[in-house]
Amino acid sequence: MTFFNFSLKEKGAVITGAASGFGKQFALELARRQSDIILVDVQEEKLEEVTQLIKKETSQKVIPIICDVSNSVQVEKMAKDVFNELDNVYILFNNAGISPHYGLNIFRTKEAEYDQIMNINLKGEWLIAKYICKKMKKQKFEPISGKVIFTSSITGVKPNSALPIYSISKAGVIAMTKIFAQDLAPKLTVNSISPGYHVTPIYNNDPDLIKNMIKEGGIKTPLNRLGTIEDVIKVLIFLASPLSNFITGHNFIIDGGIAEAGVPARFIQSDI
Amino acid sequence: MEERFLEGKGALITGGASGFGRGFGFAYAKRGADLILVDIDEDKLEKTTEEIKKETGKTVIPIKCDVSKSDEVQSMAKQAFSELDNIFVLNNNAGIGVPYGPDLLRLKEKDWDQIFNINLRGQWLVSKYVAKKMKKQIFEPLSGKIIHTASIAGMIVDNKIPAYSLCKMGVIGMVRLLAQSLAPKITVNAISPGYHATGIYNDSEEAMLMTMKDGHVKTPLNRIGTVKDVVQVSVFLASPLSNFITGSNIPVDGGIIEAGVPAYYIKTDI
Repeated sequence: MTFFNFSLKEKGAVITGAASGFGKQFALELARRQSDIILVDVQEEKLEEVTQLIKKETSQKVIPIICDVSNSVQVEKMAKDVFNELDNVYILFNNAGISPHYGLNIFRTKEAEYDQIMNINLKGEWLIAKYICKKMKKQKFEPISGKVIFTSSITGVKPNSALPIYSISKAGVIAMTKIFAQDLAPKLTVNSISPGYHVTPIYNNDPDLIKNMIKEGGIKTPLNRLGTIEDVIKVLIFLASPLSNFITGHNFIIDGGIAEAGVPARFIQSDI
Repeated sequence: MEERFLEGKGALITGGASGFGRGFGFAYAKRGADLILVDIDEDKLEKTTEEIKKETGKTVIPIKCDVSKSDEVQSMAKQAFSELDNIFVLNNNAGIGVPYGPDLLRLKEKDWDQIFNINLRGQWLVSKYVAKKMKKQIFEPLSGKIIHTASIAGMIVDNKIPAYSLCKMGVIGMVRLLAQSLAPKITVNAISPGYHATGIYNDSEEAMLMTMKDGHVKTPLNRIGTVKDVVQVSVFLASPLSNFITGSNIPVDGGIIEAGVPAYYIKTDI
């Protein structure tokens, strides 16, 4: 899919959570558009596989960096390494995140789990933006010196009580996107994406697992199909392109209409 | 980004003679679409039709129609489907501005009626009479895409254009309703432009900047909008890139509404 072709020649990209799912596929699409890429993840083996995959298909520079985004020492060092390896970072895809055990309500959630999810999904995205965006802002590209994209979720738009802490962390990401949009204007645009239910490694690539969640939550998807990785990648391509240069602070919902025209997850048992 | 993904497909654009509508027309024709341009201004419509034909070599059919009149909309829809095989993209874009200033208490009833008839009822009538046939088209995976022009004034109220704000809020609501009714075959989304020097400001950048100053507007991206800014987002919504998005409203405003300061006129000190 080199649909919507445009060149990112001599422009760098940093992608967190790059070893699988949206991060992996977006990295490949950016490299196909001649961007040099830094891939960040904690999964060393998978990261190496993705690195080789992209190198095999493109002639771009691809550098894997192992980094736990919730650890500020590691993030600071990673950011330093990034700017040693690349002249510039034009695109930052702030995407690393984890999903919790499905089903535990907010009362039954353990403190350790709360801390882990918040540290990776919210604090991690904050640390990454904090240490990378300052330098991005000083870059000389025109009319925009860089583009930042955060991964949120429709659970951040319509909280899901079977994924309580995850929902809260993703609602935080949407707010954080708007705050960074203010602080990084006018040189960087900052937007977020909110995927719905897509067949990705977060669900072990298992459509049946997702269908069960959809059934249990009474979810209704107007477009009547599960999401794919490609659905999300296409919107990311738009956000990486000059077509979106006058949009900042916005959260793009990519969910087949669930959040805005359908029925998001609900677990209320009342008859009345 | 100028791949001809609309080759063999028709696009119908209301308010197609000038401003954003004219921009949509050029952008779609360049990407292969044949066009129906709908407007009430016959002279401008003729001029835009000739310009797009000349530059792109595509079929461009002008239809004069007042979108607030049901009989005119019905006959326009009929003619559109007789001129073109299909309508894959519908830009429901026709709209008018209002006299700037009077709040809801001072607004004249005839101004309320006129703006609601064109900006809200007009968009409803066009969707009503065009979308039913679109739904039956056999394109895969979607049989069509509808894009309504709303406004950031429909996201946060603007007290100097109150009736305009309310209509555009209505448009954003209508988009969600149509998204439900037309799923799963057609996606329906809205674009909410911010401040762009178009016909709604008599093409006067100065007039527009005065209203922005009056409303203390702050634009994070620190420039005023262009027609191109909005056209590019409409291209995205008309393209397969947005196939899994429906019922959404995308502000194209340099960040005013979600990260900046939308218009306000409150004079309190506390």
